[in-house]
Parts: sequence; structure tokens; C-alpha cells
Amino acid sequence: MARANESVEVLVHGPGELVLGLADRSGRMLLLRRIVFSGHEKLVARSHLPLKVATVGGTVEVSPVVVSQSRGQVIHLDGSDAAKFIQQRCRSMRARPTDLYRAARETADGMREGNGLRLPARPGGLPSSMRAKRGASSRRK
Amino acid sequence: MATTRMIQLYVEQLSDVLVSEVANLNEEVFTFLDPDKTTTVVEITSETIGGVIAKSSTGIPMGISDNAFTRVRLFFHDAKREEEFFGPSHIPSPGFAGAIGAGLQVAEVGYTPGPQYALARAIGAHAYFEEA
Repeated sequence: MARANESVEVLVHGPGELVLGLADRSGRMLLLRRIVFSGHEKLVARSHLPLKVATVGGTVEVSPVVVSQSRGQVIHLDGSDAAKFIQQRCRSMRARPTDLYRAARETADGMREGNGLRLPARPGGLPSSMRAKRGASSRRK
Repeated sequence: MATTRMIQLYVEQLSDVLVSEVANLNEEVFTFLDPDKTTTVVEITSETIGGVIAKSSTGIPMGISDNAFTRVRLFFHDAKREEEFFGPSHIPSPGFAGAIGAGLQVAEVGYTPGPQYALARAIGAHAYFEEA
């Protein structure tokens, strides 16, 4: 999926609370955004999310995931149904949708425990590529 | 009889420690208006909490942002016509006839602060309109 602007337009029809995440191909949640809007039943919110994120290990491709949404809200990503867009995005970045849905579910579970917006704990700490990078940098000191 | 309409918007952003850039925030919420009435923008306001704290930077000042860019737009049947208002503003605007919709936008820039930073920032904003 070649994209000129490397971002996706998010349109949300209907007021309430929406939490979106950006996960990489392994299902690691890198960014969370919560949008809450109210005032009228026919409100529409527009947001943009990047499809690439710079990390300490280099730039990685990411996909938006829906962590939670209010009842009745309809979400479109670049004009497509959110689930359809995420499926296509997973194919283009060679990710397994189950990994992304797991990341969304873990994030939602953490929020349900009354912790507010928070990223899921990463078992085992940093991924191996990052550990190697950090280890090399600490050995240089 | 005058009708008051409201748009409330809150956006919060949190990033993982492995992320080395701050994604920009640019959110807008739209509502429909009655074009047969005269619309006045009564109030626009926003507030930010949190921000970015960086250990090292590339020439960009870091710290807690004190305000977000806040804008209200009125839309008309003529797509070329648009009225813009910037917040915070607590004084009613002039009345505009024929507005079919309004949008409340908040924005904060994105940047690359350096290898180590912490990000947790949020913007709350609202706008009130009166239709008479």
C-alpha cells in the first residue's frame, strides 16, 4: 500500500469516547490516542494518524487499531470501514491481524482496570533488537 | 427563539518509550447548523495538560506546552466561503446568516525531540454557538 502522505484520516460519526492505537507488525503498541467529543448526536470528529513511527531502533510501519469506542460510533479510516482498512494494512505490512487485535485487547483490559490511558506492559522488557542496540551503547561507555 | 449549540472535545496522546518522535495532534469536530438562522460564535476556549519532557533536544525547546492552537470555522453552502475564529475568545462574534456547519479544531505540532523523552499530553476544548 504505497501512500503519499504516510498518514490515515480517521472520521468518527457520533459522539462519545474513542481510543485508537498504533501497533507495529509484531503487535507492539507504540502510541495511544483518546478522543472524547460531545454536544450533539450528529457530531463528526476528524483526526489523522501516522502510518510510520520513528523509534530508537529505526522507523517502523504501524497500523491503527481500535482499542475501544462508544456504542453507536461509526469509524472510517481513509473512507473505508475500520476493520477493512486494518485488514488491508496488516496485509501490506505483513502483520498478523491477531497480533494487532491482541495488543488492542490488552490495552483495553488495562484501561478497564481503572488505570486511564496506558500502554500494555511488555513482557520480557525491550524487544531483542532494542536490547542489542542498548547493550552495545552501554558497552561503549 | 435562540438555540445554543455546544461542541466539547478532549484528546489525549501517550507514546511508548521506544518511540523517538512526537506525533502531531490535529483534531477537529464538526456539527451541523441551521442555515435559516443567524449564527454567533459565543465562546472558544482550550486548555492543555501534560506535555513533552526531553533529556536532550535538537534545538527545539521542550517542556510543558501552555496552550494549543484552537480554531472554529463556519461553513456555508458556497464552499469557497468560510469564516474563521481563533481561541481563546469569550466575546461573541458578529452574527452570520446561512452557516450550515461549524468545526472546532485543536492542534499541537509534532517533532523529534531526541532519543529519550516522555510524552503524555492532552487538550480539552469547547465552543458555543447561538442560533437565532
